[in-house]
Amino acid sequence: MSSIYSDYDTMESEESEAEREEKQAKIDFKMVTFSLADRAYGLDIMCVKEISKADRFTMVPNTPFYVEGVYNLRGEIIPIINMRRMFHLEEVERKKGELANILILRIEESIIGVIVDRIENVIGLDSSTIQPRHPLFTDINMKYIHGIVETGDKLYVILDADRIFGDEQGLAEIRQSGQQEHADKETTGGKATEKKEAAVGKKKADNIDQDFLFIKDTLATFAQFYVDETNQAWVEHRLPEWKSMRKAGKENVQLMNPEDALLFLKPFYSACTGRLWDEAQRDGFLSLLSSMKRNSFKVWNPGTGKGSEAFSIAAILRVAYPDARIKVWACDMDLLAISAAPSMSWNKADIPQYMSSSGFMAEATGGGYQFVPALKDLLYFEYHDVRHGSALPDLDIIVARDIISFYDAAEKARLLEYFSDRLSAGGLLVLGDNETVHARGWRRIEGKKIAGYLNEKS
Amino acid sequence: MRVEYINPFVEAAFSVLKEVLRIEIKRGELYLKSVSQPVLGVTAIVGLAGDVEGRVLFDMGEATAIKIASAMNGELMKKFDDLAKATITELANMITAQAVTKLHELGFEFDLTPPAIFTGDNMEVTDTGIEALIVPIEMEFGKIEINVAIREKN
Repeated sequence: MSSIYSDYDTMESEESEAEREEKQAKIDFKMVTFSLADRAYGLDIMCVKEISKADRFTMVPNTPFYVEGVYNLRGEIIPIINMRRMFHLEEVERKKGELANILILRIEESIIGVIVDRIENVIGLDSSTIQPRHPLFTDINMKYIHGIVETGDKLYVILDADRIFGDEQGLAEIRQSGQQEHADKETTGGKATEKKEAAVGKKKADNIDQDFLFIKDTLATFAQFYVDETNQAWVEHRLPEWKSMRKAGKENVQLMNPEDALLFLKPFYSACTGRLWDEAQRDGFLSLLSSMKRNSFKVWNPGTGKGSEAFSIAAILRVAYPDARIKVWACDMDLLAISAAPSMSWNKADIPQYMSSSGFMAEATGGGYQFVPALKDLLYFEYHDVRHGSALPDLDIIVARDIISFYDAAEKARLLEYFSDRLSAGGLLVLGDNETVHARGWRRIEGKKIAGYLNEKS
Repeated sequence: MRVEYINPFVEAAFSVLKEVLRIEIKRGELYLKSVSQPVLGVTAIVGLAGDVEGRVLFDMGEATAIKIASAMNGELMKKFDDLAKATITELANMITAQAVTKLHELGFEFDLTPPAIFTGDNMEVTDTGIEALIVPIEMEFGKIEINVAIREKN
């Protein structure tokens, strides 16, 4: 049983009172105020659809920790988010029969309910009186704060609803920090005797953490390289090496400019980047294919640059599977590089022995060696941005080495989803040597010094 | 979009415009777009069929369109009337046809559909599941954006 009532009417009257109080001021911003852990907050009234009271939410399994459940609002099922839990504030249990105060918000197209401690009233403001956010004011992550305003004798922290609830990124970040906090609690909650050691260890860890966080931020700024679970292991491994290298050269450990970032990332790139694949890389790639029983290979190779990777893949497949149907779509968003790809030629010294003896390369008129037309015909080179959709058919293999690390969390997730969608069931995804996928739906397989991921969709 | 298709369109636009308008023409940086985008007011469209499917849009402001039509007809036009529309349509046809001829020489089979022209304010164009190559062209009459979206038939 639950009851709902909308007290918009009473709010309207309070609103006009508040308005009268500040007669002289220009009022161009109205906020609904509420309290949370004894602090006063406001939300732009434009995103508040209504307010209500309810209890007995239907629990849904496998939802983020801050989701209280779902609720039937006049026939519409809306998610209910517990704001205290979301911002890691201490939770208070409601007394039996006590209804939760809910702000019903409309964010973009969706409607959600947010449980707060108490809903106060509506206050009209002159938006120029809103002060910019200050990091010391509140427990809530700074970037979710629109500003601070003092009205009457109270300070209100105005939250940015679109930022918190609007995009999945905001929610994902909150989710992550929640998990970290849980993990922290578990590790620091050890036995009392271990406490001292733990404290020392923690201080050390903090130091490392700070360097790590700084590097993480600057990599994103200078190289658009986003550190997360797909490549964090490599960055952690690289950091001590980098530090000793920089200290030996009496240089700053931190990345000060794009050149530093490039230098830091130099060992990140996979084997044979920008050149034809050598024997070891060929053997590794073929070892991943041994589990795939196919006689047709449709391959997509995003980020192919000047095409060495795509040509290598086509030639290796052609030699290993002489009777198979092979088609390689290769793309890059660098127009100059990809335009050069179809007529790319190589110096004799840069061509691995197995490739020159395959009969697929011939001396070009302008010097250097090119692939023969019979092999070139297996490839399509496209000027394409992988963030845009494309008209690819169902693929058997995607070779996307060192691509996803250069997209932020949201785009990365979208890309992986796109890979999974385009790849047939059991299809193979090859990422960079230093990239791993933990997302569900990908089964890791080990080959010779190389790992791949099979698409587990049914 | 396949890299082989890019140059024929850029070259055709450049040489046709230069020939019919006889003025200085500059090419801007090429880029890709996939979301809906506003169009400038006068848009000619030519469809492509054959080995591929797609279309080419020629997008410009009305003032630019009138200046181009005036230059092509050798008389000063004040309104964007039927003659002006027919002129812009013909320009779109000439550029696309020349690009398709170049592609034909490279071994690609393309067919053209008859061009059409759209005029109006606050229009936008959306392509779903296909990205468009934008070739911006700058000249003293204003700018033309040539928007090419082609995909392979699978």
